[in-house]
Amino acid sequence: MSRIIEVKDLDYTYLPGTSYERKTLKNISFSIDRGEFLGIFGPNGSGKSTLAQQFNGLLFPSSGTVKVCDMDTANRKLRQDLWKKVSLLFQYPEQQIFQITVYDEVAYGPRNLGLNEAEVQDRVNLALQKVGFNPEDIKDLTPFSLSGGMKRRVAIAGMLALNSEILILDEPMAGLDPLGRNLILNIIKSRQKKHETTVMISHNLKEIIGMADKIVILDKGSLVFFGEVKELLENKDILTQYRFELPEYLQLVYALAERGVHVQTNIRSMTEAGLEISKLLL
Amino acid sequence: MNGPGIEFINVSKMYNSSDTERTALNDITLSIQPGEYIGLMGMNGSGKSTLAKLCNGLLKPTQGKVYVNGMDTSCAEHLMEIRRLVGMVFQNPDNQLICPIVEEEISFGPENLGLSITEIKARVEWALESLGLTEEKHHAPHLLSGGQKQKVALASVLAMLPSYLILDEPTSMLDPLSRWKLMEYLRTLNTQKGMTIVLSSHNPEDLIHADRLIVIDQGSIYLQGTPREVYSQEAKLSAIGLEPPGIYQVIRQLDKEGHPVPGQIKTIAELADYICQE
Repeated sequence: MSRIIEVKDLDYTYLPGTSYERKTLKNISFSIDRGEFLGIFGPNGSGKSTLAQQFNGLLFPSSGTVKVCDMDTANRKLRQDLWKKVSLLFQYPEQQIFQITVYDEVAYGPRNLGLNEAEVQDRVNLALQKVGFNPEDIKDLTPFSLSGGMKRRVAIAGMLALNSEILILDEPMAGLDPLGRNLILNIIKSRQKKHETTVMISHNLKEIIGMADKIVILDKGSLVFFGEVKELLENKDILTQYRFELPEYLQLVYALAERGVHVQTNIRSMTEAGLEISKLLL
Repeated sequence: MNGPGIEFINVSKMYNSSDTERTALNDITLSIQPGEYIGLMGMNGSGKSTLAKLCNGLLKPTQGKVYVNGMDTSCAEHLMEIRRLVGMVFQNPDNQLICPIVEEEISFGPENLGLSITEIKARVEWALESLGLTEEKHHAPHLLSGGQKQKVALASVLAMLPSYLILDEPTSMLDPLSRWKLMEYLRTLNTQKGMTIVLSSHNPEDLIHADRLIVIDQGSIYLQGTPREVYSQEAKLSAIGLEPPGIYQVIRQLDKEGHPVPGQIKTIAELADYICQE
């Protein structure tokens, strides 16, 4: 497998030399491979969004390096290429919507890539379907008449239409109902199958624990954990310290193990848990 | 109608978009008693935020009436008093932050209530501490992270000590520890200060402390009852795309495998004990 994001000795200081100066990221190193799904966690203000914005060169290191697809993000000459490879979805992306129709909103990115209108149309239709809309029903509506959750899906479609190699999602599920949250998880799952890379900032370990390949945990700008989900589950100190909630099926399996029952604890889905517990009840 | 509390009487709310009229709420009659803790559930677009904004007269009903302590929210002369009584925290903190310094942001509300300097200072310190923002008090709100902004927005409303606190998805961007603390805090405000809480969330676990859950679907009240009553009606919830807390899902999975679990089990520990016995 090939490295796709490589962060080395990354430091980042906001507004250096002003009274608002703040060292937001401190000495961070880790890397992920192509096709992996990385979850970024950490308390509010720990530097998650600042880290995510390093991946597409919106911010670049005060010291250290960030390499994405072998490109140094600090190299301005590579910026254009970098933006084509990496899409970033901000927090509350529905606030960035500005076109008159849903179609134009989603088409904005592909048009800027210089694609012809037939190709743009294909991409828009496909992207709208991916977020659960029937393109014909929605493409002529004005996005501003839609509910918050629907607007969020339009914004996500706009990003999917770019067909970028890497997707960075900054708390895409905040304020979404279960339907919208599952939709996003399914988009990530299908990207994983196609060996496409996704990075997501989240607070809900429960939701992505079954699918994440790697986890980063930041606290006050430092990397306090990097590794696989399996390793995180073994690290009870970190789980308790940040009060991460595990999915109920895992809580149950652990509770059984604590009571001395012989049960597999290496379980990653509700179905697996159901089968495992059924064995006990037979 | 004239007593304390928030009363919705046959309230409908329509929004006009360019060519179509959309009904956001449809003939809602509802009464929120002082001291009650209410949880609001519903899909995006169900009308939860509209309901919240009707509580302090930010929106006016298209039909019907909303009364706060007997005052009609459609009457302009009552609005000052109504907004003093009903504090509101919006979904997106960027919509309500206005000052350049966190401390100023939080004191803005109390200053406008005409309180004494000592009282304002005490309230600001209290709100900062309650939300763990003391370290950020001289920072600029717009330079904070999304979750920190959400905390500032909460603190600035708390500092006004409203009688009714309306929170629209206040935990959407909070980390798990902050979320848990806020939930405990709301519970304390409710039980010890008698503050009325109306909280909407997509996280069913957030709402377990509520006295009453109200489920909104397509602008109407779909289900109502204690959390236990509402969460046990799983089929009805999933019919409108909502999920009960995770434990109910584990129980359903075991049921699917042919192992029904007795109805009185409500916690993971109880479930584990039950399985051990079998």
